[in-house]
Amino acid sequence: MKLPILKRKAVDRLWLVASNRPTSYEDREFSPDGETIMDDEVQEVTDVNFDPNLFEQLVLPSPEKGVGASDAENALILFQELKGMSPKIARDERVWCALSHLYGKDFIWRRHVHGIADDKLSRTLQTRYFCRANGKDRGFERDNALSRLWWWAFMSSRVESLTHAEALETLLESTDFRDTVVGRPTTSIIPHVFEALLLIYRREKETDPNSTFFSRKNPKNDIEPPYRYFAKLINRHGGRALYDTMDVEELVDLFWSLRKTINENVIVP
Amino acid sequence: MMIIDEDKSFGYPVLRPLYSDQSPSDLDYVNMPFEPVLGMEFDRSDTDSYVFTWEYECRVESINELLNSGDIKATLNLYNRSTWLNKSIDLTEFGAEGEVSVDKSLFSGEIELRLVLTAKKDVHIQSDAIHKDYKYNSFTVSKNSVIAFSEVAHYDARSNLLQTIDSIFVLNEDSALEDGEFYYDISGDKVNIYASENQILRLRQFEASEKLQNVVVSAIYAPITTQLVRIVFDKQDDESDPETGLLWFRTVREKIVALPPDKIQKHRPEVTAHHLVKRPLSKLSVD
Repeated sequence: MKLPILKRKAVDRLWLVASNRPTSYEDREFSPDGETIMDDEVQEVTDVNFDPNLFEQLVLPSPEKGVGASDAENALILFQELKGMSPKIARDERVWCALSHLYGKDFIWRRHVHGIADDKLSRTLQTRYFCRANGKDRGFERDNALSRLWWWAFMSSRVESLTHAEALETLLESTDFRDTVVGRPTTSIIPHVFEALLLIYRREKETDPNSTFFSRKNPKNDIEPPYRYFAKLINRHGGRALYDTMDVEELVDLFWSLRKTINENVIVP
Repeated sequence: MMIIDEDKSFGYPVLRPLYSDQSPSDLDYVNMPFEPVLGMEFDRSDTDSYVFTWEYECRVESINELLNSGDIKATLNLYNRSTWLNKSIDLTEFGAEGEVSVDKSLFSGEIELRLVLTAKKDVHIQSDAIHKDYKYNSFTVSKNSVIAFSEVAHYDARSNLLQTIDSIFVLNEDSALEDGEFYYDISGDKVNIYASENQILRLRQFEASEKLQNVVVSAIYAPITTQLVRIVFDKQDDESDPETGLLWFRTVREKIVALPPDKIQKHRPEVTAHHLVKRPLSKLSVD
């Protein structure tokens, strides 16, 4: 099946429904000949194929499989199933809106919306079914329930020293770490830096499985989490050496040396 | 984009671009700005790709020698935040001038290009052009240090429009129009063409394809340009008419003047228009 894409006016109409009549999302009737999406407002992206049943393969967080692990599994499934999807296409809200409302709607509801308080329903729908609620970059990379999975998988697909699944599991194991890498792309957009950061995270966990270094809730420091200071150090150092031209091993060595300068017990400046 | 603070001192001399508010004598290497020519355009041999071009010259002899020996390398950095692209292309095998083709599907929105020279190992640089404030004429920098950086060049990778080609034609959406309908407005500096969203998407797809450009030219640009040419012929000698000051008027007039004399036929504006729109994006670009 070809990838669907909505016309802009259909996206705008859905946005108004999510904003003004959010409870109408409860039955999730978004068929193309319905009230909110007209028949001629769904078109196809010819270069991308997918199997609509892929959404039935997606898993929800459970006691056995936490949020990070289930997100990693779902990201891999989505990335592999959307054959031919390019970054250019993946940056079009009309594509993700079509997938979110026509095929992934039940998964999104169960994963992100079910159980949400009424006063937060509208905002949650805007965030998870669209790519515009909190700015464009964040909309694609952190908000929309499907696009973010694809983009995480895309970023991780360029890591050479880990399997794709390993890279995804590492990136998504901790929400704080993920947000540090994805939410502050000044340096992590450089493929080698991205890979080096994943390797540093793994080394940290290997050195101390109970390390809270990459956690926002670091119990030893209530001023600024050490990983944020670490990120600042990396950014600061990037002005001296050009990360773009360094290989992964050099970056890992450099970042680890910076990491070692930070003592978790000391309140950082 | 590469983390380079253009205003800061690196603690050692760096070849830099000359900005408009600077004097060449203030540069780290006095009177020696680093100003590579960077470009982006459609790949004529592969319409699914963009071509990125570069040409640089380094006037510091010892840096040139280190480039030749491979101890300093040139890197072209392509940055597109939207598509999470930060691609650094080692130019060692290409030399000081060349081009690379990159798949178009990797880009969306603004693209930034920058060329840098970096040290592949600890290197020693000597030059009498080093600014006197440094109080030396030779120094050593460590591996991976920045030796030179260019200004950032900005391009736009929207479907059909590159920033270097600032066309007089602007496509606008009018949802009231049916497929096949369009109208245009020449009251402003640019020619605003209105069509349905569908049609605009299709036009952009066609324009992005060299083979299909002729379809757009015949269907849209040729009739509009004929009208523009007719107006230019009518009013070009009347500077008091406010229309002669509009950007589209001036552009079309300049492009007509640049045509061979036998292509300028006042009694047959469609012929002149035909010669103008052979390659509409470049022929009617704003210089």
